[in-house]
Amino acid sequence: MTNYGLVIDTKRCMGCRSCVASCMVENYYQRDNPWNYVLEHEVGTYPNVSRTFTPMNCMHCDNPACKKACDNIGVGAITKNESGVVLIDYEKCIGCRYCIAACPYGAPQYIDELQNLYPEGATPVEETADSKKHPLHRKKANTVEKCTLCWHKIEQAIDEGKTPGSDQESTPSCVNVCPVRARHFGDLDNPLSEVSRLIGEKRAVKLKPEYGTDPKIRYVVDGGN
Amino acid sequence: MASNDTMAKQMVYGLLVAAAILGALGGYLVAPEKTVEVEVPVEVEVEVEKIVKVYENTFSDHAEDIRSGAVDVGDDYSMSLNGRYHTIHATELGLSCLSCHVGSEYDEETQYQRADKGLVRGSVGVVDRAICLGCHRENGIANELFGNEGN
Repeated sequence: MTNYGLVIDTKRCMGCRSCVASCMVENYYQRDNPWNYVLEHEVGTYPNVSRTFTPMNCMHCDNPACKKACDNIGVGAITKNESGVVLIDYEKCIGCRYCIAACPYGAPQYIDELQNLYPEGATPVEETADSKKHPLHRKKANTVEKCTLCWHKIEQAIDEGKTPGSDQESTPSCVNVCPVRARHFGDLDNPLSEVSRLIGEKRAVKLKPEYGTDPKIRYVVDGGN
Repeated sequence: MASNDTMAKQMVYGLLVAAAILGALGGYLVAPEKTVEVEVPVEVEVEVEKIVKVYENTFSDHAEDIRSGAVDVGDDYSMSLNGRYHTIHATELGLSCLSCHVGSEYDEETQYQRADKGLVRGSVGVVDRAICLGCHRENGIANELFGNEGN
C-alpha cells in the first residue's frame, strides 16, 4: 500500500504562486474556486518585518473531517482511495457544503454555477466534451471540488506500472513547477522516499494537529516542530 | 426595716423576671421544628417543571433526539437558513448567530490569496472551526468529525 503526500518547505517558498497557476492549467478549476492558494503573513514589528508564505491545498487527511461530514448524512460522495488520496465523486455530491463547514483547512470549494474563465467566451478546454475529460475534471454546478493531488496523473502512472513521482508526467503539477523546490511529492509510508527523509531531517509538521485529522501535507516551518 | 422589705421584694421580683426570660429562651431553643405547609400556585409549578426540563434535556439528549428522528429538522441538506444545518444548530440547539459567526472579517487562515481580495465565491461565512471542535470531537456529544488531539 502507498500513502501519497506532500512536504512543503515554507522557508523556501517565495510566494510566486506558480503552484496556483499550474494547478489552474492542469485541473481547470473554476474562477474564484482555487484548489490551491497561498496565504501571506506579515510578521514582526516595523522596521523589522518580513513576509512568510504558506501554500494551501487539500491535506488528504488520514482521518478526513469532510468525509465524515458527508458520510454522516448518508451521501458518501467523498472517498479515500487505496493510495491515501481523498476524492469527491461529483455525480454523488449534492452540494450541501457540509464538507466545507467541516474542513479546518478551507480546502473544499463550492461551485454554484459554471462560469467560463474569460468573459469573452469558452476556452478550448471548456468546450471539450465531458466524455473526453477525466471524471475529476468534469465540472458540474452545485457541487464541491478540491485538490485531487493530481490523481489523474498518479492513476495513469500506476496503470503504466510506473512509480508516481518518478518523473514529471506522474508528479502533481504544483510540484513540477516550483522554481525553488519548496514542494516535494512522494510516498509517506516508504521510509526511503524523499518526503520521508524531509519529514525526518527538517521536522516537517502537520497543520492544526488539534483537530486530529492527521493531514498528509507536511510543512517545514521556521523553528521546526 | 421597711426599706429592707422593699429591697427583698425587688430582688425576688428581679429573680422571677430573669427566670421567666431564661425559661422562655430555653423553651424556644428546645422547641420542636414546625413544618409550614404553603400551597404552591399552579403557575409556579409549571415554571419549575420547565426549568427542570431544560436542565435535564441537555445538548447531548437533544442531539440524540435529532439523530433518532424524534425531532424533525427537515430534509434540506444545505447551508440555507431554513436548511437542516441551521435548523439543528440555531433553532433546535439554540446557538445564537454569534456563537459561530464570531467575527465580521476573515482572519489570516481563510481563503484569501491576498488580504485585500474579496470573499471566495460560495464561501459559507466566517466560522472558526475551533468552535465546531467543542462538540464534534471524538467522543463528543455531536456527530464525530474530528479525531483525538495530536493524532
